[in-house]
Amino acid sequence: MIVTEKSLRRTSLMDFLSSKKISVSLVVITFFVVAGLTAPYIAPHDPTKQSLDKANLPPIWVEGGDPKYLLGTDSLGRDILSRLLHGASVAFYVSITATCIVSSVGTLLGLLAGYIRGKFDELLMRIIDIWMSFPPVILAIAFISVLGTGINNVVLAIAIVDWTRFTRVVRSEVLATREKDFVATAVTAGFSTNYIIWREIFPNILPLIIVLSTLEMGIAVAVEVLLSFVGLGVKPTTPSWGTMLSDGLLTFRTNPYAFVFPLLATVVVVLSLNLLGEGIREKLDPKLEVIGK
Amino acid sequence: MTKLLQVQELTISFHQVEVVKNVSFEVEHGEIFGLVGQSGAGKSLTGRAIIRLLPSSAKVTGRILFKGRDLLSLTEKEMRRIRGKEITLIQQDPVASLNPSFKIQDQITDILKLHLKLDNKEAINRAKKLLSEVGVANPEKVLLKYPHQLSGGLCQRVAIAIAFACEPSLVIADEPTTALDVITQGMVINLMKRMQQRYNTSIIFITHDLALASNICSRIAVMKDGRILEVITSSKNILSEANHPYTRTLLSSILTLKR
Repeated sequence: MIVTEKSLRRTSLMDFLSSKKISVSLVVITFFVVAGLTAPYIAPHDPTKQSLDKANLPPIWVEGGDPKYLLGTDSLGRDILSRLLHGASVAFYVSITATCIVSSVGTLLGLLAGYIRGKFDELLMRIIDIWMSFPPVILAIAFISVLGTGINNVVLAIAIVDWTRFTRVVRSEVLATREKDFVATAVTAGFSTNYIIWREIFPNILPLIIVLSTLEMGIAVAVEVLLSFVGLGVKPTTPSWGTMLSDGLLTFRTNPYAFVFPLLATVVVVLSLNLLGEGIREKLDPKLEVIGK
Repeated sequence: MTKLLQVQELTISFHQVEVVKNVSFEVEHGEIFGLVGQSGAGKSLTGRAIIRLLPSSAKVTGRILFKGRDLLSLTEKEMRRIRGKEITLIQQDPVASLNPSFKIQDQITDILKLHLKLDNKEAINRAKKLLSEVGVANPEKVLLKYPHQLSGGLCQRVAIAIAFACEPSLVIADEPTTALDVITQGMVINLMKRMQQRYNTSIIFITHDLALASNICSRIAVMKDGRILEVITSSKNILSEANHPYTRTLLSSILTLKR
């Protein structure tokens, strides 16, 4: 008998790292996470300190660059590198906390709806149908308008918008898993529903949850940038890639660097997170199809 | 002494379509009872109805008296105390019937802890003993393996060990040998006979293979289209016992080796 199903236990760390997608994206992500965590210590300047005489400097490799400002300055003379580093910590704070909320809510609801079924499942699915028929960005903007701006409200808005997709995918995987023979074995062994959900089903959908969470992190980074860009994300004074983009856009013709660098950082991070999710998916289950996104 | 199991007028229907019709039979203490029929005859559904494993869309009527109690009238909580301790199930695909995420050890000891309230050390010792009873050569090693690391035959031995772990009175074996090759099949059949004698367990042996059933069962119910056509007493000359034309058809379809 050929066993094609894979589980976490069967895939070693080395096996994971042998995937180019995983190793490359992990290096990039680790770089940005470390940069964000150590930003207060390694950033050459205060990210909010303005010095108008140093405004709109290009990076040092371009003529007119100042060696004190590696990537140049924006229209208010703030150091772009320092702002990028601090922005990384904002991006990852938002993406990690939002993903934690989304994945725990989504996993719990998905497990309950998929295993217990019945009226609870029916009601939850209709709520999700309604929820998902709103354009996600509009929904996020609406919540921010109610909650007010600020980094934790961004986290909340992302969680409120994205729990639906996560719940749906987890539920459909639970529906497939509960029909497996080993679940019948556990039922006929006299185990409780609680035991079956957490010992029989949860460990076997964990690979899916990990993949979904990685993809969710990428989405959260992009949404935070977007919300901050339109002025509905973090407070305007907080250095975030989104606020940098909106500031940089104003001076794009005279100083494109203030716009290009935060854009580059966003694209590289989101791409890496998606690549990481894709790589893990391939390693854990070649048959697994991530639906809904 | 009352019969261990009495199934009376069992009818199972899905959306008004009856798939098991008015089935009645009895299983004695320590008996191997065969349920034989083609695919779709309703034999697996009948077996699964006894341990109440049917989906909620199934409508089950009739009575299933186990040690005098009607299983169909029990609450889910009462049923949980019977499942695994009094009645267990062995399934067709041995590898799929074990949880891929846990070691064999966890899967055996969990059920021992649940029903016999053993502590971890006692449970591991009992698991080792069970595995050697089902003919596993090196139980210590196998306990630490995951299901996918074992062969189908070995997984079925583990599944049998789990089914007999709490010394149940009734084991429902749902085509336990269908997914195995003939040699492993023979070993598993002998093993089930041995375990049945050791624990004086009754077995409901569900199979499509009349020859196999006549080899292991004391009585065989032949099912077709959701009905029991006849119950025959297995003997050396099964041909003389079979009266119903369908049973004769089944018998004549057994392939014989050319000499």
